Amino acid sequence: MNKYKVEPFEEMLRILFLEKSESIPEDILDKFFQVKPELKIPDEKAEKMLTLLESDLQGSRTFGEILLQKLDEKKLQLSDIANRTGLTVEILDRIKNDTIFPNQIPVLLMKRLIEFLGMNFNEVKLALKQTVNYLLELTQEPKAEISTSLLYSRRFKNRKKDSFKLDQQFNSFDYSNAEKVLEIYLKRLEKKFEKE
Amino acid sequence: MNEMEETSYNLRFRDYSDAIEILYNRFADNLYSYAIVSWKLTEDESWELVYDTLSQVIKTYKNYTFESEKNFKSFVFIIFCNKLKNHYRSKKNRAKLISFINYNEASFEQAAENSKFKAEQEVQESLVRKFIDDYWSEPQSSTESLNILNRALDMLEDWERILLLQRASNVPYSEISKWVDKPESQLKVYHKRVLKKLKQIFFQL
Repeated sequence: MNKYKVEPFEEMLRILFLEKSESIPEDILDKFFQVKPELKIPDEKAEKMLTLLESDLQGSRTFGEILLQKLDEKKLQLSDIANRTGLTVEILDRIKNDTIFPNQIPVLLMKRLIEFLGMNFNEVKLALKQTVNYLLELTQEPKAEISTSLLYSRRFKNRKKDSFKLDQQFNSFDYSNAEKVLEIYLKRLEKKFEKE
Repeated sequence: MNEMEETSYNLRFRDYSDAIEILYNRFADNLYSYAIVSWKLTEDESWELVYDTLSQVIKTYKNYTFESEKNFKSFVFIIFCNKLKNHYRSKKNRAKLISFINYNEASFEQAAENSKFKAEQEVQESLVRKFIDDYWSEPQSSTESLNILNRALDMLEDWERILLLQRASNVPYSEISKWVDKPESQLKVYHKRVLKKLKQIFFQL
């Protein structure tokens, strides 16, 4: 195999660029992405990647994100959904922002919401699990501090202080059981659908 | 707000196929090209790394807040770099792909006439090679050298640092010249000189 010839010190700089990617000034990285790339992903492979990414995104969407998307698609206001489902605008707003555990929503009203959104049960299961995972992460402390040079930060740091406010009912919620509680909730929800 | 102005990290507020396309258009080809040109990965390996990176971005971006699009670009790039490092370390194949050439000629201008100087250069060169070997096999052992290199870089002028880092990330001289305000035709010479300057600082630290 022909080996590529590299200058050792330049290789060291390449490694630095790779290793210190967290502290590389944002302006330099910004320019990196502005440059017209020498090579492009062939069309066929680009198509494949887009399809795979789309299904990744679909599978990783929270219930709130799906609600948000439906609102946008159908050009609806929360009040329109409130009228059709019996849920209050405040609760819908919390569902939309993923600041409420799904089992806080009565099963019957959740069923109406799901029907209104036109989702199938498997899609709902996946989305509600994503919501619970997301909420659980919001309630946990970071495992390790990310480099201080980064301007982005774990969302829950801010959310916990500001918009993510646990209500009285939430404060007594046992987070360690959240996944189990969701399983039970999903079974009840599934039964409601089966009854029809 | 048009597509280019809209921030990528607000993907959740968009229709998802739309969002994926924006993400792809902004990042995929640059990362793909960087992996092939700078790191000599195959097309398939590069495709896989780009896909893994964007897939992880999609799955995790919600857990972070971003102050700007530049912030988000750093986030994407860091994920990509971590994947690239893991790729090499798991396969231990970087060393198989490359062979080292001598320090560029500029470093050896004096060496032909001065045997002591040449010996010193050879020692320095072997140190750098050892660092590179260690880096891919035992990354922790190379942290100190990287910190010294970082400090040496900090001692350069801004334009010099940009020139070296941009070249290390394979940005063409034509693009770099726009940012460092130096003529493109001169940049190759400047690059040699600045690299030599960096080596001198590095070995003095």
